[in-house]
Amino acid sequence: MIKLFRNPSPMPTQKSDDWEVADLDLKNVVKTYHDRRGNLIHAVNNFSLKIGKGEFTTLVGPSGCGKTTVLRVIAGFEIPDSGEVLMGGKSINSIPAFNRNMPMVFQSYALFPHLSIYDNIAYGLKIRKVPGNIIKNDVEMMLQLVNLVGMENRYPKEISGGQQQRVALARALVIKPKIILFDEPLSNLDVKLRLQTRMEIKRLQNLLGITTLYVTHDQEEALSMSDSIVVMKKGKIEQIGSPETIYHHPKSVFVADFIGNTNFVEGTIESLLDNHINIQVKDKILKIPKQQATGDINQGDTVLLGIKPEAISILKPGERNPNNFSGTVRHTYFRGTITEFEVEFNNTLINVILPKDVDFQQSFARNERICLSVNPRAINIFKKH
Amino acid sequence: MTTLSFSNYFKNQKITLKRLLNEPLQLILVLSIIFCLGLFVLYPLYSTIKVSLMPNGHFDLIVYKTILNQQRFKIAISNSILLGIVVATLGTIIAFLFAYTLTRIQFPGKHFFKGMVILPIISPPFIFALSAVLLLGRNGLLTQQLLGIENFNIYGFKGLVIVQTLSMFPIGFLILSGILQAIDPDLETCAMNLGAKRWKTFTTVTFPLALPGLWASWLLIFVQSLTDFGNPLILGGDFPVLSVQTYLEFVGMGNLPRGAGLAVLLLVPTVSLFILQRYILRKKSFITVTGKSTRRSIVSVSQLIHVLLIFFSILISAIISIFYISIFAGSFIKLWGINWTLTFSHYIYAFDVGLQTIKDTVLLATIATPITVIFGMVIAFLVVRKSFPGKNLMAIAAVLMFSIPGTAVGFGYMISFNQEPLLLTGTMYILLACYVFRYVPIGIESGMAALSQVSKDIGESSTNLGASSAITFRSITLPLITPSFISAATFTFVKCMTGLSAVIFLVSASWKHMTTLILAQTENMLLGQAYAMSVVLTLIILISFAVFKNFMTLGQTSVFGGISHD
Ligand SMILES: Nc1ncnc2c1ncn2[C@@H]1O[C@H](COP(=O)(O)OP(=O)(O)OP(=O)(O)O)[C@@H](O)[C@H]1O
Ligand SMILES: [Mg+2]
Repeated sequence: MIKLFRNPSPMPTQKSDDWEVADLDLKNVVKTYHDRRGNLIHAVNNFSLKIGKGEFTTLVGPSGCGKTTVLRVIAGFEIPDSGEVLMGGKSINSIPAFNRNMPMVFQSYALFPHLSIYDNIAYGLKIRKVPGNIIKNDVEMMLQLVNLVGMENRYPKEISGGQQQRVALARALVIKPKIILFDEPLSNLDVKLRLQTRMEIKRLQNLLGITTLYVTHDQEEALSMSDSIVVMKKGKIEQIGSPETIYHHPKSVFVADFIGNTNFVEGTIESLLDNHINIQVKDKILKIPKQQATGDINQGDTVLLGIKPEAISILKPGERNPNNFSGTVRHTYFRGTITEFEVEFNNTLINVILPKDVDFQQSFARNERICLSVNPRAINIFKKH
Repeated sequence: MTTLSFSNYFKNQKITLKRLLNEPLQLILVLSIIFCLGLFVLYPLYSTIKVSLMPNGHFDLIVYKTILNQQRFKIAISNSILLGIVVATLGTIIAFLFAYTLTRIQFPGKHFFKGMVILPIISPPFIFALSAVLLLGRNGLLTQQLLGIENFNIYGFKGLVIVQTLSMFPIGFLILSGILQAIDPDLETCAMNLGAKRWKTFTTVTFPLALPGLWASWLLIFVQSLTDFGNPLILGGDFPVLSVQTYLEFVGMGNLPRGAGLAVLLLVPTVSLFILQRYILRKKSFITVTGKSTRRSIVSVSQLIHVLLIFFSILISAIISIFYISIFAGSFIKLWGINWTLTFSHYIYAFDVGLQTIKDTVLLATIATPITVIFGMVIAFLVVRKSFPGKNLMAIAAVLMFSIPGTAVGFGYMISFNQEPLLLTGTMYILLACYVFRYVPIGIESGMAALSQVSKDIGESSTNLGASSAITFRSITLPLITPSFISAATFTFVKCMTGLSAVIFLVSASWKHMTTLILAQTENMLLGQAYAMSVVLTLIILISFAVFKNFMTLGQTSVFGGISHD
């Protein structure tokens, strides 16, 4: 097997032995700011998180919820008010930012405009006084890895956004980081490039097995790349879990709303059975498996049902399903492999996503009434507050 | 260039010419601007050069031979250069430290410090020389009264370095704080994140990125020092410099050709540095904006340096304040250093003798300001939005005046407009023309800034939303260009009020200027009156600022010194 670095090769497949990754452990980190009027802002509030060696963890959450602040605390640019950051089991609170070996990939890329691509990538190595021939070797390796061979003499201004992003990535990887941090690295790219670069990053992360903390706004990005996802709300963790858990079993309306374009429909608990909960929605009773409920729920409670768009299907003529309801089509968006509908039900608009069915005509006129069925196993029950 | 591209070039020129001919109003505008620029920018320049090259009606290099052979001129030239180098270097260092402190370090009272730095830019150019006499002169408060030094000599090189550095570093400050602010803080953060310690981050990222700004600042201060007239006239002593020699050659000796030759010698370095700065250094600017940045700068110096820098800024600001306070105090004291009684007599005398001068100065500045700014904005509009043959030449001619030393401008105007049919000497028109064409680059710079605010898209989208062009102009264009207009007007007004070096050649018995009066009073040892007049002049400027309500935003305009860092 050929090793990355020290051993030039056209296709590196593994990182070298002197490249150690580390795990990361945040314990009750608190970071507050004062705004201009002197009010206290809890940017990060009692935040605890463990990231195992080689894991890919993603922070998601609405703007201003403290994602960047968490990264900056880890990188050492912000000193937490209280709490600890541990790397490999040892506290790094007192280690200055420049000694942490945790490069960050910025949304703005932050390429040094006065240095060539080559010198940008070599920057961290030069700072570390790595011998010249090794720098040359490692930078060339990185250029290959991120597919930028031949561009090394250009300046950041002279390459495209996607290429700039890859330089930023190469510049971070070349110093053999113990942990790598990303702050919305793809949000300046157009959709196609974003998908490409996303896969590229994931491929490199898999290949090199570096511990990664990734921040994004984009739920699809989070779901497709991560080993685990951390949903943040106002400086706190709302839920941690694998992408599947977060997607299928959101703990709260907030998480369900943030991930997966969930529809919310109001209902009342009609009765609680051993395995099922009967919920009245308008004039229908839905039978939903008990494990789909979060928190403790009693008879007569008003609840919100979180229904993913793909859990809903259209009842074909002659088909029977007890969990059906009818609604009015308000909009249809044809999207190629899928079709998206907005159906009005009970005065709310519900998103329905249907895969393309070659055998079945899927176009409906506006205001046409249709019958929908819903898969009760894909409904989450949240107590309404 | 190949024949093909030549013919293409002419074809394009022909098309643009045709377009121009289709719009008669615009054609007339362009032609009259070109005529004006030719008459008031190029012609005086041409006359000056001609007089120096043809002292006796035919071509002769005798003038330059004399200048370059005579000891006193040689000394003046080397003095000017030496002074320029020292002042530019010191000034740039101070400017950088100051700008770094104010843009990177958080501490209370920043606005006050910024205000202190702006003050020298808006006051009369020789105010530091005047107060240097009060503080460090033969009867100086610091030297003689407090320290008891009997023979401290402020006149000469030492004194000039002090006063020029203090009055000129602020220009460098404006350039450098603009550049430092434009550096994306993510870059510094990133360098540290990649393992660079604070000092290393500074030397490998911050400093190289600020380098074009440092160069620009150095060159600008160098040119300012080279062309400074007021300070060396007052404090020069036995340290002759080129700008003063030009004036003396003409006023004292009445030697027109030699004065012209000296003016040309002064002009050559300033114009070439101007071109260097504009077309070479500007291209090397690295400041680019990419994506959304977190915009949180980190302090890349240690705590100790941090404290030292703040201390340094306080020190410099304190020195500036002491100079101003001493002028203010001096204007109320009977005879500085000898008779400390308080008195109003200087003001009474100043108003007795100077009231007409004050009126003249303010009137001329008030007339010249709107003309200059509108003229500049029209040129900017034509250059940016229209195309016609000779456009680039027009742009160059229009901003050229900013690089010509005031002494040369004044000299050129004096010899160019002194006979029929262009007899302007002694009238207010020669002063107005001098103001308008000297300061029109300010209007152009701000016009360009304004136009970049009002992109074609903005106007079109307003039209597109149903606004008529009148409404679009009133509700979109006007509010967008007003800030640029006001800041250009403020700056032009200040320049008209404080300019000395050109005006001194053009004032007459019927039209006077406060700065020349102050200088005359200084020469006649009426120091108290000179201080009183300076205070009045500074007050008028401060009041005009209140009127323009633009004191704070002035710091952000890039028009100072004709530098823009885009
Ligand atoms: N230097 C600062 N001074 C004051 N408040 C700050 C500072 N930095 C961050 N904040 C505040 O802390 C909170 C968290 O900010 P942070 O940048 O971490 O959010 P974010 O989740 O990264 O948002 P986005 O998704 O928009 O990037 C915000 O309310 C922000 O206004
Ligand atoms: Mg952020």
